[in-house]
Amino acid sequence: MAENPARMTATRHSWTLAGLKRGLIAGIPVAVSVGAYGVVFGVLARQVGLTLLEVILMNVLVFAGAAQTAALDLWSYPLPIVAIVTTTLLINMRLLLLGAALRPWLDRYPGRKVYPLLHIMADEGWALAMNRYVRGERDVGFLVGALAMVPIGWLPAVVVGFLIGSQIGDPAAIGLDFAFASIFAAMLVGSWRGRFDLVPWTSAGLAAWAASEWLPGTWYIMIGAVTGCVVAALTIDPARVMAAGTTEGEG
Amino acid sequence: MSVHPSALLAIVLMAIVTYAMRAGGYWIMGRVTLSPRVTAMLAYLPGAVLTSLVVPAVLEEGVPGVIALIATAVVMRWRGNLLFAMLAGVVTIWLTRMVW
Repeated sequence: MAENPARMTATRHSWTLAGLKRGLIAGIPVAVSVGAYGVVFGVLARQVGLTLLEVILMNVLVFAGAAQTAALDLWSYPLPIVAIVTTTLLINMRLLLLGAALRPWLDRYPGRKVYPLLHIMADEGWALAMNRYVRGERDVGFLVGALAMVPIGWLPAVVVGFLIGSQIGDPAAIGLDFAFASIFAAMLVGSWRGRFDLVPWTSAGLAAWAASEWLPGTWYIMIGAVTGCVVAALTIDPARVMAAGTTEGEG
Repeated sequence: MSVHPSALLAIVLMAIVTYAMRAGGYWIMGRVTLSPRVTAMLAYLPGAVLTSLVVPAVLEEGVPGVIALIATAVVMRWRGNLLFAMLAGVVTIWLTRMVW
């Protein structure tokens, strides 16, 4: 629904029902793959002792799978709230870039419509939408549809996973305690962009490992993350990284 | 079905910082432009955080951890599916712990 179609330049930056439908349909595979991960998240959330209401609140209010999974990894009472929030912030800082990239597409839209929409902006929906934007898509309906398919796939799947989780006994007995490390490693493989990632990631891993050996608590996450970024800043060619980063959306 | 007060606090704070990132990038683009180096650094954060979580966890497991990590990476490269990759890691560590 364009604010004032007469003042728009042709159909650019406008909203159509056909575009919304295209976005929803294009988002079906995304919803399925996000849903598969959502089930895993639900199972893990149950394993670490979240209640169903806490799981629903977290997924509606935070809605960021990678950060939430990292939070679950730290979730034991008394909750290390500072570590949980810091880790969430560090993992989600990339959302600054995703939001920034949407500016040209949504520039003509009033803030009261854009800012609520940004809450459901996740990597998968964003990557799908931007991939089409690069190829000429300008219908804001498409963006809304693509973004919406992520929570549509994610939220019910998390609840299903939570309910399945109660059927599973001791997680360590079947290797489920390794699920976090495994998911994080898979995400890393999925976000690999090229050889220039090797040095910063290795530095981050080594620094984190050293910190986990010699420092208490969860300082190792912050120390590894900062080391990786500093090494990246010192070693990378920004133009090449950004070119690689925008052509392949992270999964 | 209940909510622990400190869980609620953690969730609300997580929600605030996350929404600040989602809205902040869009908002700031109307005002300043980030240098390419800063942008590239920000792009490294998720990978650096994930590596920091993975490496200590895997090394703590020892040999089974390393084998399971390789299995996860291979399946992820092959199928590109997070669920399959995770299952590969979990099944591998379950099996290797039995023999190691």
